[in-house]
Amino acid sequence: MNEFLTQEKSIYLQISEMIENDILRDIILEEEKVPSTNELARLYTINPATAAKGINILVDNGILYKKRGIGMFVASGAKEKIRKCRREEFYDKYIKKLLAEAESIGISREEVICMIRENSK
Amino acid sequence: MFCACKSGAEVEEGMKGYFRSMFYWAYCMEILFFSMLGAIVLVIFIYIFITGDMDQVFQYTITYIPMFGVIYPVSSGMNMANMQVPLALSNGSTRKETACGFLVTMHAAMLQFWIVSAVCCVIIPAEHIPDDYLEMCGLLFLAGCGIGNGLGAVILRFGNKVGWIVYMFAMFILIGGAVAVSLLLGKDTVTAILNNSPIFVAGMVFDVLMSVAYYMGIKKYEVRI
Amino acid sequence: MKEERLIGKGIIKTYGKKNVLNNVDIELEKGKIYGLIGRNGAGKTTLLSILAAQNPATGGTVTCNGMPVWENREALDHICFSREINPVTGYGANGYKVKDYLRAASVYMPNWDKELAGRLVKEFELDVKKRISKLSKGMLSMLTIIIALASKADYTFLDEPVAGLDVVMREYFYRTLLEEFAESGRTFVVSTHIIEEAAEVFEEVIIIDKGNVILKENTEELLERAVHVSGMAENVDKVTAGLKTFHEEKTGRSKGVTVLLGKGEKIPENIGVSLQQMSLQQVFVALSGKREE
Repeated sequence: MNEFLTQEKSIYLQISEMIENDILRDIILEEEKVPSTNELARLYTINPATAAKGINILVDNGILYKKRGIGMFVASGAKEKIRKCRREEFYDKYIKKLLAEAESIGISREEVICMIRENSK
Repeated sequence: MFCACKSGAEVEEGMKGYFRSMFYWAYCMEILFFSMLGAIVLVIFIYIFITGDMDQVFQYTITYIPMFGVIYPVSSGMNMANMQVPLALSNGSTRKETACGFLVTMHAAMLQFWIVSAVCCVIIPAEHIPDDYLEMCGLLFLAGCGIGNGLGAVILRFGNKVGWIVYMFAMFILIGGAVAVSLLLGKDTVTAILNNSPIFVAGMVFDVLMSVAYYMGIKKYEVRI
Repeated sequence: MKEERLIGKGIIKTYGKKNVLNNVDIELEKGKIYGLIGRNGAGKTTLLSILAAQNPATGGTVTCNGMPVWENREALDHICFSREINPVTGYGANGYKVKDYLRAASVYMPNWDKELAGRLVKEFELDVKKRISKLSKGMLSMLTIIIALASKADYTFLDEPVAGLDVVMREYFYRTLLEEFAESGRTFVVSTHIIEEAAEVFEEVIIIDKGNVILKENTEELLERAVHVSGMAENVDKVTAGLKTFHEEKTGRSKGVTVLLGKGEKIPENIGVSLQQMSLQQVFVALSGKREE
């Protein structure tokens, strides 16, 4: 949770990703409470509205749910949901760029696959 | 358009603003007044202690009270316009409240000096006090108040540099004029003139005009760094 | 029910022949932190001064919760403008002390929080007996900040509050501001030149350039629609055709330009250009930076 924010991506997206990462890494477990909007705002010196936006994305996606008067909690099955979502995004987010870069410097797909096989530990 | 009548609560809010303003200005002015008074009294006591020459003490007191009573409003008028008015306005005081606060406390100070001169007339043996002393003091204090307001108005409207120029000019004319008048007309004529109530009225009109000028000066004043 | 807003309509301010504010319309909502950014002389201080009824506008109106603000005690009780304090006045060195300034503020601000002021004075390590003329620029800023925060006014304006503060104190200021905001939900408008640090604190950003408000938008939304497109000049032109572009930079065959996407607009992909997300400072410079003649 205590990473620095970067300038390369919208702050609220970074907030929601950070919470998702923590869920994946078991830093926050399912049915546990996540930091409140104000706590996040204080931690990262950001506007509470921005923190709220990040949290709301996770609520909309069913990762978090609200317990009235208490706060935001991680939903059951959230970890699996996040994994599934990231699997679907994996190709677009990472592989597409990799292949585009490989193409621009003349490395064929077969060569890329060989690189992966040879360097797998 | 919106209803022009204010509710009771709104009027109360408005009055609170005036009271706050008055309180603050009175606080500032009275501190100055009493420290000046205290300094005078202290000097007098030291003088008495050193020389024991009561005649000189009376003489000095009679002269200095009116002098301070003129210096105080003149320098306050200028000082307040430079320091206090911007401070009040930048803290959210309205111009009416500021003008009101300043003018009321200025006139209160004028009255206070006059009371002091009256007290002197009571304490000090009559032979040291010139005729019409109280009237003369009253007139001087009125003039001082008016000049202070006028100079304050000039500073608010035209800035400090112009204010100082007008100040020098006014002092020159006043002092020069006073000297010339007393030389040319002689003491008796001056006393006779002073006895005439119209000059008092003229003094009050002058003060009122200068107070209005002060308010006009604040109206156009722009709060800047 | 009165609308809780501070609204400026058609504000014009001229000094002699010089037009400092041209027909500015601005609406400040309750419970937001706004950033006001603009170059020196753009009109930030003048605008704030007029909104706080400390200077008269040449034209236009300013209302707070439906009431006009000019000379209106009831409206002014909701507003605090904490401007830069000058160590030198027209009369010479500013002989007032810190405590004089604090006392004046406590008299005039109806909701003045004495405890908060005392706490901040201690945390900033400010000597209340010190004369204004003897304070450093940083300490003057701290006093401005204390007055603004302790005023507890619904609409609080801070004019360049971090000028003169070192980076540690600046961070402390942002944190304290956010804490106060979280607790009270007051509206703050902060004008600053140090844009990048403060960008995350502003919910909305207002950009003023040469007396005009050229932009007022939610910070995140603005940054999501600002893209820096660069690459081969023809490709850049192809991809940005019909879109709003700013601040063109050319180097040899390559070209870089800032694009502000409108609703529903997108940059076509796969045309061999680099797309980069921009920081608030970069967007600001693109919109109102110095034009190369």
